[in-house]
Amino acid sequence: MNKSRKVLVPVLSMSLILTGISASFLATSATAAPKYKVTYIPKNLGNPYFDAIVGGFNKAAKGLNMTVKVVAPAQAGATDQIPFIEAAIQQKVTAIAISPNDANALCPTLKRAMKAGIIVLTVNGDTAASCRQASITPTDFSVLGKYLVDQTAKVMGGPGDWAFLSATSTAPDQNAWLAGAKTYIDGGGQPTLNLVATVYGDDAPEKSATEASALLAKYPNLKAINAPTTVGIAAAAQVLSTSPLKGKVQVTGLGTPNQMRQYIKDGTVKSFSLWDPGLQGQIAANLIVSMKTKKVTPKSGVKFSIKGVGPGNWTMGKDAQIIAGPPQEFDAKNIDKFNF
Amino acid sequence: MKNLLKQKGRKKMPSYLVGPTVILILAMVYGSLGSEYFLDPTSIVFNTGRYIEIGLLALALTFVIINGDIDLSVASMLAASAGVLAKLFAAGVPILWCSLAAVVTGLVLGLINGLIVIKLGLPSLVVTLATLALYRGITQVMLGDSVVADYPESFIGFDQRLIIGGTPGLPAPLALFFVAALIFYFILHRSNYGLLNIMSGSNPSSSKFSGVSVDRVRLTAFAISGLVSGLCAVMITSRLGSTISNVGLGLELLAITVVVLGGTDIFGGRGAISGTIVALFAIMAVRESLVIQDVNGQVQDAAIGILLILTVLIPRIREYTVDKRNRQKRFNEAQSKTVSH
Repeated sequence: MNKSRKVLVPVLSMSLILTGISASFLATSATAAPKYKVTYIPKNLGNPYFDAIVGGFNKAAKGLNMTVKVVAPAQAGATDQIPFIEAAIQQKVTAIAISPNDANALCPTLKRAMKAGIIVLTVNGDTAASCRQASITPTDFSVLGKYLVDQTAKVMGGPGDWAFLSATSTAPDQNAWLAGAKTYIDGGGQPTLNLVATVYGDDAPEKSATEASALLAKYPNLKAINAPTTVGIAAAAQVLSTSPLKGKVQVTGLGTPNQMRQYIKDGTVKSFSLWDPGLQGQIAANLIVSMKTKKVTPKSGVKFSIKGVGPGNWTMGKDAQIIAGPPQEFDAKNIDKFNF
Repeated sequence: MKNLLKQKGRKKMPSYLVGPTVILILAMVYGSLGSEYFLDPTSIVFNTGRYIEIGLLALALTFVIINGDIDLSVASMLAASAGVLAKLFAAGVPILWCSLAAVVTGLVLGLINGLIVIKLGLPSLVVTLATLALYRGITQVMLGDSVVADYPESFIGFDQRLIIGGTPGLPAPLALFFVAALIFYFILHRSNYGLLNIMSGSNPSSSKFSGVSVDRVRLTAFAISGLVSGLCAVMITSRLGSTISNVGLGLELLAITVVVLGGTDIFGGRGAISGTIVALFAIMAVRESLVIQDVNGQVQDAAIGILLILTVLIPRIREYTVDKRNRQKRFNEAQSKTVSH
């Protein structure tokens, strides 16, 4: 009994120390006391779309004396980001930039961060306006719903049934676009198209693929699937690329060029769209510094400019919303010009 | 002198507390070495807030598991209770009544679990696996994709309220947890019910023959589990200030992890509230020490998994080796006896 207890302590401590060494090694790789410490919390990890936002942050941070830490939960659940916000408060960072998984559940924690004097920006998706100082949106959401419907009509090239393959049913960005699409359709937009279903792949590749296969089985007259999420569109394209329905059912929506390149090349996908996600990271990094040094207070009508970044000039909209740029369409002709 | 101290310490600490205590201490050391921000008393105390629901569920589950049962539906009962709270609030019912209704909903759902298990004689693993899906499904039907978020300010932020002021202070959830832990400790270790609880779990048939109402003991445990889930629904709604249908998704696994880490035997008959309490703080310390050092979610989950396996495995290896040694000893004794004859 005594002997084995002597074994217990060293074994446990070894395992903890080992994880400790690896973790602290990772944590301290960025050195030389920077002036601005920023924590960016994407929805989850392993999503190339958010990697592109991180790329934008890092690009801008180089010239701004800023370090950007990226931390994310294992799942994209409504409350999974809370521990990371709390850790950032504890670390007394300059700013927290977050792509929220839920519009409301994070509010109490984000308010605590602002109370502690930390700048809070939402990037690519928003919370209630009172829970952050400014919100950077990738493109004009209010017209994106319409854009998705028109995009679907373009790849279908005629009348027929189509369906949405969305991310999670609580994702604020997805819901805003779906609502926009519905408003456009109800108002008589693209009347020859028939939206038969909206399904949710929860931004998980397997679930998205399952949902896409189910759509094909359930709706034999389906002509197109529109997946306005990078995980969903890749999963749907993958399902169709090996299906006899390839070419008969179109896949479009929002995806990254690197993920979709093979499906454009093999003819599964005619065209899809996105914007430059990195732009949001660049704007956020610059805005944080402007708020610190030039005392820019985000509110409706405030103008600001960043040299050499995207359109260069922005005017904040209602509730301090900043629209990064217009959508970009990718097809066989132009896809090789993009790398993200 | 050194030996004496060592022996004293050993006598004081029961074996099931060794694992979680070692983890707790090492995680605190690891956290404070890894980040200058870790040992901030205010943050430590406030960050406990989001673990308290797991802790309360684990306390209740300790009873269920000691009985040799399991309740996988706690997070779904929590969601259904939160759903009732949200629906009533949206219909204009005062928040106090909504909260009460949530607790009652939890109690009723827990009783339903218990009645199905006991009256129909089905295994609790299967029954609560079914109600895990059923109660979550009911919540999704109730709420759909809607969000209820306009709760009154006086109701939101229960976890930010201090029972004892100052730095670091004692926030309400932590205080509630201590009170609950004390109550559960007395029920399990100082009351007749607790004794019956352990008896029923360790040997249900002989307990039955010696006049213990095993069924009633088990039903009570399921009811407590439901009641606590309902209470946690109120807490989580106040903490997040909003309700969606996937609230608390996956909490049952975290709570069961705490119970098992605390040394309660997953097959029943053995367990202690103190183990569950220390295990909760151990998991809290591990998570917090990792998140403050910017370790991502996946790695945190993996670390907890490894620690759980080690804590369960090491005592087993010990039992095995001690057992083997004893057998060898007896064998040797028998041999020498034969020789001497």
